[in-house]
Parts: sequence; structure tokens; C-alpha cells
Amino acid sequence: MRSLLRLLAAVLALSLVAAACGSDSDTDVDTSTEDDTTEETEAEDAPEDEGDTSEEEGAEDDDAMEDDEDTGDDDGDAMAASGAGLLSLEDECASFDGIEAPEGFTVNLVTDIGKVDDGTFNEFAFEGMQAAVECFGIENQSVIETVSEADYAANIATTLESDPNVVITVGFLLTTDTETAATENPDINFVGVDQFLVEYPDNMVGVLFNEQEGGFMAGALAASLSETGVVGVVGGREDVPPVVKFVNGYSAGAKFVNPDVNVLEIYNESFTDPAKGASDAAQFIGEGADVVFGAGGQTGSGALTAAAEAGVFAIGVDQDEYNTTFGGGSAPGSEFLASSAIKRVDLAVFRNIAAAVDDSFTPGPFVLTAENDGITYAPFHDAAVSDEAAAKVEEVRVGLADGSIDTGVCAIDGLFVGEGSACD
Amino acid sequence: MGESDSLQGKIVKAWSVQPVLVPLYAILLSFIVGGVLIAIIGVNPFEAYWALVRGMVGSPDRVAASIARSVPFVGSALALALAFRAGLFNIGAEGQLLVGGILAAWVGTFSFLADAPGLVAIPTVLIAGAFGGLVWGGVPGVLRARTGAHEVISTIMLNSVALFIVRWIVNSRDPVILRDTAASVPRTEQIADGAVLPQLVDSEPNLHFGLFVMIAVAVVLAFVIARTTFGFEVITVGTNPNAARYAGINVNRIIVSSMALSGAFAGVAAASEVSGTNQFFQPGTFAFIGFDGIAIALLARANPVAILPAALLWGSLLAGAPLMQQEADVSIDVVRIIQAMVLLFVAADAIVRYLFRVRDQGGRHIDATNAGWV
Repeated sequence: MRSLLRLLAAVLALSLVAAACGSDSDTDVDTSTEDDTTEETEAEDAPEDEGDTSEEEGAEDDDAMEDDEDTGDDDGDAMAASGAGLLSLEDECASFDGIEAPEGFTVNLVTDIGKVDDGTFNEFAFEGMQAAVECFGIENQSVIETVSEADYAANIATTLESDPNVVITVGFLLTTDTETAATENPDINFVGVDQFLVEYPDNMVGVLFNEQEGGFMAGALAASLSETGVVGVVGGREDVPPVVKFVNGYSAGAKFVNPDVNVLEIYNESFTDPAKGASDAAQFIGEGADVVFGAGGQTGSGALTAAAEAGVFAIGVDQDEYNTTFGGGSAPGSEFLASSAIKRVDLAVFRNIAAAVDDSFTPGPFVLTAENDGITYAPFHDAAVSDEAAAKVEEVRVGLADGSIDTGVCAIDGLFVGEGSACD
Repeated sequence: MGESDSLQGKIVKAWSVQPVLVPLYAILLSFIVGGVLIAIIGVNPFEAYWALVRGMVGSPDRVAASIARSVPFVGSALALALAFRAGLFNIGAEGQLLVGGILAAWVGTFSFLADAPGLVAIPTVLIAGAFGGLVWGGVPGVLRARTGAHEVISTIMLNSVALFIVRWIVNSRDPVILRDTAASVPRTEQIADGAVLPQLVDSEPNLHFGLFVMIAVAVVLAFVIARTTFGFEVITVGTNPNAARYAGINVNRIIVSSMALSGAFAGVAAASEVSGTNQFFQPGTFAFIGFDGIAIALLARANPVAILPAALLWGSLLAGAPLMQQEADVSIDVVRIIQAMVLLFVAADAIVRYLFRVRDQGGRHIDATNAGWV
């Protein structure tokens, strides 16, 4: 009997091992390795939401999509009311009217570690690609979802075997491998999302972001919403420039709307510490803050959740956190998520594929800005954002887009211009 | 009982006659289950498998890539196998790889290696890796021998310790420890040219001389286990520590040395990857190599030589899966499921043998997988 028990225990252990081998992100083993690796991607560059609630996302996804479409289809004034200058990919498609992809045109995507529905840049790049495929009647497309950092180069090599016209790679960890592949395949266009190079090969685009503008919009919204005149921002690591760009942009935006506003700022050592984010938010609320912006991966999301549960406005980052952190409205406090400062990776991917179809592919950095609708704010969803505040943030967005407003934050290191930033 | 008529009975019979057959059955069965799964998600399983097979062996480059992907698994599986033989469950290969890898990468950048010939530089780097793994595997061995701390707990904890230390060393910009600040991703600096293992095929990933290093390690371990006093002592301790102690074997010494040696195997594997594949160290590239090693070692029944084909199966499935996703739109997760099923069927075989009281005639290597660590 004892040995039977032993064997059963052995099988149990084995199934644990087996579970650990599968890349299901529910297991402990996974959390300690793969998920953290993904997080590292973000830690290094932009603080992104981990999409850890992506499972919950599905159920409410349709709603969210409808919301997007609504705002997209409406005209300017209606948009301001509903809370976004979100350019829909359908509208974007319409602006490329009449362009058809040549026969046999092929677009391939290699993701960073994760899935095409994980709520991170992977998903947005995929959406952009899908929209382009539909819009231009592209014949062939394929996706490879990376499971290990050891496979980046191999996956790019595999994707090249189908003779693609455009290859999209997602995440800064693929920078070097994408650059190498681009140099070796001069006839193929490469789009690297979140990939910065000092000098790009002649057939490679790096999608980058003007985070300070997103921060500025978030700050303007925060100051407009605030009744106490105190707003807070919970950042990730201070040695990561995109975080500093968000935080200082936020501060500048808040002061743009209300010069007397008191902006509470904190940076964190980790992007993966929601508990710390939550305690930061509680601290800010204790000091009178009534709007909290979270710009630090899961740490920032923790701050949002805590703020929203305490009945204080929260502003998300990178993606529409209503769909991810707040489970499409199913999480408690969703009505306090005012908006999110979002990066339109889908738009960037779409436009670059369009350029490749159109023979107007321009190598080099492709910076998402307020001007090109790549940096914007998410719909207000369930939040009770006053028409006044909505009008204000839209005004700021338009101002940033047409250049009449300057954030005063250096796009390189995120420091204030004139205060020893790299832009001086 | 009529067990010889049932499928299980047949498998068990086959196992007792020819140990290779059971894993083969298990693999076949797993692919059938995987095929059903693929069919359920609405893809033609034959199409998917055809893409998978072409991904694995479709061209000389792909064969090389499959082998290259398998090489580190040999080391991590050997790290498990030796410990299994000593009745220990070393699930710390993940951490041992990381420590070995970073030490190899660090030593590889030493200035005295810059002009050293390969015959000096390469062994130096490999030994550095082995040493790192040896220390990281030895610590839980000592803890087990001295304090009775269970190695499953201590090794899995040390995995996290290793991961976070290594990540700090590689990621930190202030202070810069081993990070190559010029690189766009967090990794260490390039090792000296002389310390790079000779390349065999320029596939992706590239096949390098580390293949022969790992084969040699496997063969040596097989010899040590089968033909040396140390190997005999390890097996005796693994089978029955009390009997071993009674027979005058220093059980603690065997526990410490087999854990340390296990770690060294993982360390060498990591060093060979650092030296042969990337020429620098990037922690993420080792994710799951250690954990998959557990599965491979179990599949190979902790037999060092059998680990070679088992690792090859594992690595080539992983190398082939992306093409399956690209061409048939079937997620690489299917391959993970197949791998898990293989393991499950191999493990279930042990139950079958117990339930049917089938005497094991296949050799002594069978007990190694479930002795001692429950």
C-alpha cells in the first residue's frame, strides 16, 4: 500500500512537472520564470500592463470593442463627450482607399514571450496586422508566438522561410535579432515594436513612443477631475526613461491645467509589485490626492486598483486598463477608472504595413505621438467624467497634436527641458 | 487476470522485454492524443504534424537547429539523472544553469583569455561553468547531508535566489556589474574570441562543438555509474541509504558529491551554451531548460545514454513547433501538451507495473526514477 501511495505521489509530482512544462501562466513555477521574463521586457522599457487579467477580459471583450467602434464612428464633438480621440482602424483603413496588396503579399508576426491575446503589445500588434490584412486584402499572414528567449532568432528565421514582404517583431528584446535579420534580408521590410536603435537598417522601422505626451494628457485629465487640488502618480523604476517621461509629463500636464495643483510622485524599484503600488496609492489618498495615475507595470496597476476601490479616480497606462486590469468593467471600482494613457501599437503596425503595401516604407524610428494619433487617452467607459474635464483633456490632446502645446519634457530622458535634460 | 490481453498488459510485457518500447508507445500515444486535440480546434492534424516534422527535420539546417536546441537539455537532464540515482530529486538545475552560465560568461571576459589559444580558453570557460553549477548544486547537498533539509525544497528555493541574483548582476545599470551597457538588451559582454566553441553548422540556433561536450559528459556519467566504485555507491545509497550505511558507505559524502556533480553537469551545459551559441549570457535564454530536464531525465529513466535521444526529441519538438504555428496555425502549446503526455504515459507505466505485479526484468535503471525522494 505504501508503495502504491508513493507511486501516486510520484505521478502527482510528475503532473506538476508537466504542468510546469506547459506555458500555462497559472503555475508557481511559471510565475518565477517565464512571467517574470515577460515582465522584464517591460521593466526595461515602457511600463506596460502585464495583462494578468486577460482571462477575464474575454467575456467583456465584445462590449469594449463596441465602445471603441462607437467612439471611432462618432464625430469630433461626440468623441469629446464620450472621452476619446481614438482613431479606429476602420477609419484608418478608409484613408488608404483603393490600395490593394499585390498578389501573394505576405505579412508575418513574431511575438515576444506571450500570446496574441495577452493584452500586451503582442495583442495590439496582432490587431494592427489583422486590420491591415483585411483592409488591403493581403493574401498570406502567419504568427509565431515565442515561448522562450532562446527562440527569438530561430523564430525570425522560421518566419523568413515563407518569403514574407513584411515581418513584425514585438518587444525590445528582439531588437538585435531583428536588426540582424533586416541586414541579411534587404528585400524584406521589418517593423520592430518598441525597438530602439541609434541607426536602423534601410529596411527596418522601430516603433517608439512619446510617453511624455501621454503623461501630459493624463495629468491634464487628473487636474481637471481633482477637487482637492492634489493628484498622485505611481511610477516604475526611475532609471527607465519611459517611466520618467510619463511621470514628468503627468506633472507638466497637471500644472498646465491648474498651476497650483500639488503633484505627488513616487518611483518604485519594481514593476511587479502591485502591493507596493497599492500602499503608495493609499499614502497619496491619505495626503489628499483624489486622482492617481499608475505608470509602472503591475506596480502601477496595483495603485489603480487600490485607488478605484477607495473611490478615487484612477488613470491607467499603455493600454486601456479598463479592458485588462479592470476586467472590462467586471472588477470592483471600474467606475473610477477615468481613462488610460495609451500607445496605439496597432495603429503603428497598421500604418507600416500600409506603407509596405504602398511602396512608401520609410526606415528609421516611427514615433507614436499625439500628432499622429498614436498617443492618446482611452474612453472613459463607466467613469463619471464631467463634460468640462472631458473637454479639457480633448483640448490638451488637440493642442499637443497640432503643436500649440509643448510638454516641456525631453523626449530622450524624460527630464524637464532646461533642467539638465539630454535635450538641452 | 488476463492482463496480457489488455493494451497495458502488452505494454508492460513489452517493457519488461525491451525497455525502449514503452517510451516509444508513450510517444505514439501522446501524438495521437495531440492529434485529437488539434482536430478539436479545427485543424487537420496531419497537416499540422507534417509542418511539425518539417520544422524538426525538413532541411539540413533544421536538423542542425533541432540538435542545437537539444544540447543544453542533455546537461540539465544529466543533472537530474545522477541525483535520481542517488535517490535525490534535484529540481535546481534551473538555478545551477544560471549560476554556471554567468560564471562562464564572466570568466570568458577575463583579459588573460583574450590572447589565449582555444585549448586553454575553452576549457577555462567550461570549468568555470561547471564550478558555478557545482557550488549551486553542492549547497543543497550539504544542507541535506548535514541538516536533513529536503533537497526538493532547498533546490527550488535556490532557483529563485539564483534567478534574482543573476538578473540583478546582468540588469543593473547602477552600479554596472556585468551588463554590456552598449547592448540594447540586458546581457553580459561578449566573451573572448578564443573562448568560443568551434561552430559546426550555421543554423538558427547554431550547432556548435558543445554537442560533443555533452555527449562526452553523458558517456562518462554512464561509465561512472556502471563501472566505478563511486557509481556503485551512488546507486546503493539511492536504493537504500540504510543498507548503504550498514555496508560502510559514507552516505553523506555520496549525497553531497552527487548533488555537486549534478550541478556541475548543468553548469557545463550552460557554459557550453554561453560559449557556443550566444557568446554572452542572457538569463532569459535559460528559462525552462532546467525544468524540462526533469521531464527528459524521467523519460530516459535516468539512464545517461538514453537521455541523448530523449533530449533530442524534446529539443527538436520545440525547434519544429514554430513552423507548425506558422503553417498550420496550431499553437506551440500543443507541443507542450504532447511532451506532458509522453511523460504522463511513461510515469503511468510504473503504476501499471505495480498494479499488475509485473516483475521488472528490464534492468536496474527502473527504480532510479521513483526511489528515495517520496
